[in-house]
Amino acid sequence: MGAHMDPGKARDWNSLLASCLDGGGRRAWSEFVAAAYPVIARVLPPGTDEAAIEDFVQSLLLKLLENDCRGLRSFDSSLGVPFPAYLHVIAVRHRIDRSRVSRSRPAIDIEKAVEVLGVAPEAERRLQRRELLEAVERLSPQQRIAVRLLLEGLSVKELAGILGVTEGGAGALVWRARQELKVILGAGV
Amino acid sequence: MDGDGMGHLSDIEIALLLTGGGSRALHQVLTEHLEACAACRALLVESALADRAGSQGSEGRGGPATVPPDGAVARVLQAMEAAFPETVNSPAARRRIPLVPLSTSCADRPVLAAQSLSADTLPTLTSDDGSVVVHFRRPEPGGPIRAYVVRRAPSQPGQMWIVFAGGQRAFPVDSGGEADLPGIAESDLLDGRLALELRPREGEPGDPEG
Repeated sequence: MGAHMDPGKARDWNSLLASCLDGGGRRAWSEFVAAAYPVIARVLPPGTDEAAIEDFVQSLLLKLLENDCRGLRSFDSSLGVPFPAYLHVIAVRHRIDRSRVSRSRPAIDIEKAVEVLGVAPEAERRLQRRELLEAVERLSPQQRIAVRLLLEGLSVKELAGILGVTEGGAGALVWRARQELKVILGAGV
Repeated sequence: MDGDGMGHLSDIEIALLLTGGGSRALHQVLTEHLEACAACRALLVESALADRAGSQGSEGRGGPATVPPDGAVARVLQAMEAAFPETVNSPAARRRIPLVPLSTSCADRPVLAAQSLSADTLPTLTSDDGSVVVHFRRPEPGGPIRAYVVRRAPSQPGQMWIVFAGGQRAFPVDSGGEADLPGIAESDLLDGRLALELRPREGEPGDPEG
């Protein structure tokens, strides 16, 4: 994850958040807004104008203060997740909600699948969406989620973090998935 | 924010996946859900891609400014103050959080469920929003029950008390989150009379005894 996810600042964030939630008053909240502003703003696309950024930040922070700050109190500092990482996910969810963009993405893009998975040219010619979907379904659960996330644009490094394995382990998992897909597609088409 | 009741991953669980924190077993539980849930997978992917784009932006390749423009923080704070004056302006005040038995309804929330597995024979209590979990154990046979408080939202040290029967008895929670509860029986844990109380530090505005 990016630099703002650096756990080195976690203690400062936890202290600031605790100060706000435990009645630190306007001064604590002012510090919090100043610190949270760039974390929230960075989920917006390049070129977003300042007024729109400010409106977005404000609407999210107001939402977090609802129901006695439930959104902030739900942060579980004992899990070791840096607060900015949590805020980042909340901001992305807020952006999705506001833009009313469907969260569902195309299941599999055939051209990208061919490029990412490196299936054989002869299979590529005959490859059909349905066949690829069926082939992916025949992989192990861990291989399936790895393939899906890769096809949706994540890197092997990001995949490793999500699966809780090393980058090498994630690479090996993808390699095995590719081999199995080649076998399945080769045999099935 | 903590799921919508349909068994989706919470924001903290998505963040945990993105930062690579937590045990491998927990990752396995969460990724099994991801494999079956397109909505959670999409939120995860969007979050990862936004983080990647934000990192590039902060390195000078575009993206929103990382420093708030002049006056922006003050304006946002003003809006927060107008909408939630008691939250933003109020000095610290005593706040009591009722503790109830941890229910099995957390089965669709892997993090909570995993934590409940660590409980021993004494019951585990939690706040209704799950932000506070209290485990109990009796370290010595015949000795007092000891409470182990896990407050998920960060807290300032030395401000927590376990209170019983509306505050008739109060037991300080030490900086390690532990409190001995002499005179409290096992049956008292389940009757809804225990609460966690957050008190302002002595001398701070809002402390009735300060």
